[in-house]
Amino acid sequence: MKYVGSYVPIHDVIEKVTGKVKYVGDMELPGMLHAKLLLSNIAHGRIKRIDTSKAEALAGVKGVFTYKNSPVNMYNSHKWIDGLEVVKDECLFSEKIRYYGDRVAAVVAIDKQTAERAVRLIEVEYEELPVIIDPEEAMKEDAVRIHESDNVVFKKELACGYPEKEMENAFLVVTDRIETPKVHHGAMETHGCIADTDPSGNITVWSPCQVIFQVQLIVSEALGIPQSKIRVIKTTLGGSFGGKGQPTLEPICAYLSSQLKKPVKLLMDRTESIVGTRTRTKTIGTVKTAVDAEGNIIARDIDVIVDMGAYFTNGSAVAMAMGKKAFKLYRIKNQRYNVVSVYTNTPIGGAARGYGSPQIHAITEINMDNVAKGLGIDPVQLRLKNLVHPYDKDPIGGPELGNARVIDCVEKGAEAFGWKDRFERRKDTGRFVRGVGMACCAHGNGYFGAYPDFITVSLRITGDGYAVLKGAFHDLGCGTNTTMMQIVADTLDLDIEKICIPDTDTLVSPFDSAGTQASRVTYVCGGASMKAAQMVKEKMVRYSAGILECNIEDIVMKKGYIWDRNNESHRISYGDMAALIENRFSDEAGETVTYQSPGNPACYAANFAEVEVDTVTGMVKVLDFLAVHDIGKAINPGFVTGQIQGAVQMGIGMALSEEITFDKKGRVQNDRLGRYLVVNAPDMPDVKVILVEEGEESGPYGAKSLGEIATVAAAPAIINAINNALDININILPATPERIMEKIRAKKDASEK
Amino acid sequence: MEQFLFDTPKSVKELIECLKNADESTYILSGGTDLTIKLRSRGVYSGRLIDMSGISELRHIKTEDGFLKIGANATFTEIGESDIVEKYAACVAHAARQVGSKQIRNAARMAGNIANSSPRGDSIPALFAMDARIRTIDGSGKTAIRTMDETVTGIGRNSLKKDEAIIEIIIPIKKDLISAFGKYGRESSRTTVVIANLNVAAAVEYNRINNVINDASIVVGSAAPVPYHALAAENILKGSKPTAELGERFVAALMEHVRESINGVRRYENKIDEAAGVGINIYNMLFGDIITGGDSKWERK
Amino acid sequence: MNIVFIVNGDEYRIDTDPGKRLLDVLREDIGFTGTKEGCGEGECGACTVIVDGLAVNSCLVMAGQINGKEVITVEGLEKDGELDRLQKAFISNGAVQCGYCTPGMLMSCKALLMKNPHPNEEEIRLAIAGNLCRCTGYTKIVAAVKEVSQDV
Repeated sequence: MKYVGSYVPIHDVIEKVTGKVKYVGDMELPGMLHAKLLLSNIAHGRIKRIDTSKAEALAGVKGVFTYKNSPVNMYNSHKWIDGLEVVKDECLFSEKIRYYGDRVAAVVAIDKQTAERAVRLIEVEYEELPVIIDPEEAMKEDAVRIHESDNVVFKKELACGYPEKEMENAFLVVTDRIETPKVHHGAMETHGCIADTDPSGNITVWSPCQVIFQVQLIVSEALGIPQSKIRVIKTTLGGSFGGKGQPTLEPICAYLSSQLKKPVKLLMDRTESIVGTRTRTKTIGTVKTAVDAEGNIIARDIDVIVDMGAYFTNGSAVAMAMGKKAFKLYRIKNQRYNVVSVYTNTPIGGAARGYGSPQIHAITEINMDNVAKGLGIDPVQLRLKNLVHPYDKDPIGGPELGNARVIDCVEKGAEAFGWKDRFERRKDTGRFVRGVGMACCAHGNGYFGAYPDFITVSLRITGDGYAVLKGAFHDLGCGTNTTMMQIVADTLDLDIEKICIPDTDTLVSPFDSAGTQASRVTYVCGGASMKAAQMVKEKMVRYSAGILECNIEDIVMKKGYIWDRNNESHRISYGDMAALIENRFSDEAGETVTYQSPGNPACYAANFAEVEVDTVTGMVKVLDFLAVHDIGKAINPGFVTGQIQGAVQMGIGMALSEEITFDKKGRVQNDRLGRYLVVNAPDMPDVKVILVEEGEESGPYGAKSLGEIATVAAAPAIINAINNALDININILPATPERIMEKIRAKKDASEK
Repeated sequence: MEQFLFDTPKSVKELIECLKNADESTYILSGGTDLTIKLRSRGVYSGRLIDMSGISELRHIKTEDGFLKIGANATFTEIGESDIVEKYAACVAHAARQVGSKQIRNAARMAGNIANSSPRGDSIPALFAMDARIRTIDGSGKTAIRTMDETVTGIGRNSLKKDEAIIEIIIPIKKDLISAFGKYGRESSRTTVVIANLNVAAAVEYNRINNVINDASIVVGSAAPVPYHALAAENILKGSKPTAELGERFVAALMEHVRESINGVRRYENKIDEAAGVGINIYNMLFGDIITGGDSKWERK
Repeated sequence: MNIVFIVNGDEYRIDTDPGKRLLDVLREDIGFTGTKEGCGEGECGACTVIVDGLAVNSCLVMAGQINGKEVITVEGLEKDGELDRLQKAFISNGAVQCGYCTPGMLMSCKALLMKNPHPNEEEIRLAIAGNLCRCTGYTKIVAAVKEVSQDV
């Protein structure tokens, strides 16, 4: 293997370091108009009066759109494939306002400045309704309804064994109630898109999206026009992390363009991206873990409230995803997971790196450390006793766990981190106190077992020697295309410079069932690319035997050339051979394959953190961080370590500072980066990475997923380290200085009594 | 479309000319880092902008007649890196280095920070503690000198007239003066590029030979609409010898000041803890080596 | 208002609103879209450019302020078709993922190296404290700058 297992820079790196790459905001079409949204500045109410006349009168304004002059076709932006049953509760513009940031109007003008000015001229009068921020308030019977349905719109239970009965036999039961925050994805590129309409009414949408076919589907549903009249082209993404997973602006922009018959660009600024797109779903979890005296988990009971925000989107999917993860990490024979999803007047939940996994693992892994504390044993030992082993079965009938190497992760990590020494070290007595924490986690590889999971890819060797791989690959900045190129280059044994992946475009790319979602890209799309390359190779070998008049077994296909091993001097390049095949056999040196995901093995990680807490102010400094990942095989170790380091930054944010907060009226208080604080360079530790590469048989070259799981264990590891440092029990994330001081004080008060 | 008018005076003389016609829609900027945001967020699309950054005679940082003089055009970077500011007004240099990011410090000016009069501004407590004066000039060419509390009068409010611009910051050079500045940002553990949740500047006259604090000026910022002198904390220091015990009392007094300032508002309660943290840090910067002999840091019991 | 300034060595004369942000002037008036907007308030650093040798947020500078000034954007790092040493180090160290913070990050690092060719890790991290990145966790970016700083 030449490329697999080594660092190859991301495919568009030269364009990126020179500033030449075009993100959607950089694109310019002839005659293009600029749109700006008006988002509501109240959290719940109805539009009593809306006057757009002043905005319309401003020179350069081409149109103003509200619920009064736009179609009311209900849709759910979470729906990514036809046939998926969803609650449809969203439309382009609504008369009813359900959260601070709901779409009230859009202005289209000749330039950005005019559109910005015109939006300020729209006058809106609201009839305000009571605001519900707290999901538990939303669940009360007399709570005001946010939609026509009840605020609780989804309930589900997953279970195995007899948790209630076994709970009674426990040596120790430890219960925790843990809240995880509503988080902004924080991709550096804010949301935006461009749409253009041709004279026949065909719409082209340029979008930094995760699923082109989902954008096509949602635009079609929202506008009430056939999918075949909509073309979606993926643009270079300046980060997504799930935030651009659901189409938010695309239906609006397509509608504006369809009305004005011009190209329209719609961009959001940071504040709009924070309040008006999607967020990581807030959750409240109560977990009860029962163990025997030796620390074996005999039963566990988890209750979760999912705060969906103002619209349903993936409110049930994320609830289910959380539940399924709870059964994949430890050997727990008796377990119940019970979930409800509720509406609140807060920004909309959606896909967010990990898709519920960071939430459920924060809930359960903080609890695990409390169990260890209750038993008086090392949390590493508690985990090692209970973690799943390779090829364990999923107790609720989910897909096989596969070569599950979480125990290796914990053992290697504990060793490298010097866990035992650090954990047993005497606590500092001064102002600054150090502590250590760790956490484990599980994640999946695609949708197999839950939703359709397949991709069609087409690979062809051209007469000039290139391998053109067509597929709906959505590089979000993580190196998807390069990963595919590495796999194909190694499988064909061809220079990677000769692998070409055209832009992802509904007109060009064969169908893909799910895009860059669900940690499926390397495992499923990579598997498909490898399969296509193997088939092309087989085909070329077969035809080459005919052309070179030798046995198939004697054909050698290596380093871009094909020859008969009995006639080594006569070597034909892949390109020349492809041309010969086309001319002699009227066939292409290419194959199109629809690849069904072969499974959904779990991947695992263990994170180790050391923190220092200032007991005077509650400030936390992360001193050291180690992430150990069961990745099967790293196709591109450079991408893998880079993604882990970035994901830990996100996890530390969830642990220490990132939370969208509200005032009593539901207005977002930290709607800009000066108040919504992500971790910057001086506070970020050098994250060390260890990879466990034991191979997953069903993955390409043994590879499993990484992009999402990398952020999952970080937050609980940090919280556990803080709890360890101070002997407190942080149960609301993020652990802000205020919350830490509150716990320190409560502990002090308790000890003085 | 409406546009701005833009003046770039090259000298104080030209500045006076520009100020002559100043009215309600005139905005003075030096770095422009705050004003750019303010105009956009308020939807101001026209008016007259006077950019002072071209006046090279106001870029100075110098000592003269027993004063440290900082021209209105000196950037935070320049002030933070200045040896003479470090020597005569360390707390001002410390504050300058803790403002925003490198990019902000390269563009923004301390004079602008004062004119902006944000209760969270970092320069104001530092200058206040140093008993700094602000020299201004108006459209008639008249100069005036104000103290910090005469200048900053409320949240985002100051006593500057529309046709009046800050041209210089004047800090008296005092014998035996040592000073320090500390701050914490809000709502997180972030240590850099943070808007102050609490900032405190201390300037004390301390004679090493007699080992006595002759005078103390302690100013608390971000706890009230305008920064204020922490009188009780000052009184504790004045006339005392720096000891660990004095540190305890100093920090407790500082916390008490902040407790009073926030007046029971729960979401500001963490400022009291931050007062303790800043208090300890500052006391250490001022007297840590004297108390501990320089081997370790002083900590509260 | 007529504004004359230099961008990446070339002089530009434009007639624009002097209150317009330098960021918008670069992107809209003269086509340098390499400079990005990430927050519009000087918190994320995506719009960082070098003005007269210093890194600044182009979203917080008005067009009127750059009259007679010299601006370097990310497009100006490459010289005669050859990438700058810093750009090469970003590539070889894997410091680029989505790439949106990259132009601003490069300009902050370049400005640092112009002033201080051999910064230590703390100096590097402080120089990019105002440049947010959501992909890399900064480690590989710091490594890239370190590599350049170790060049003779």
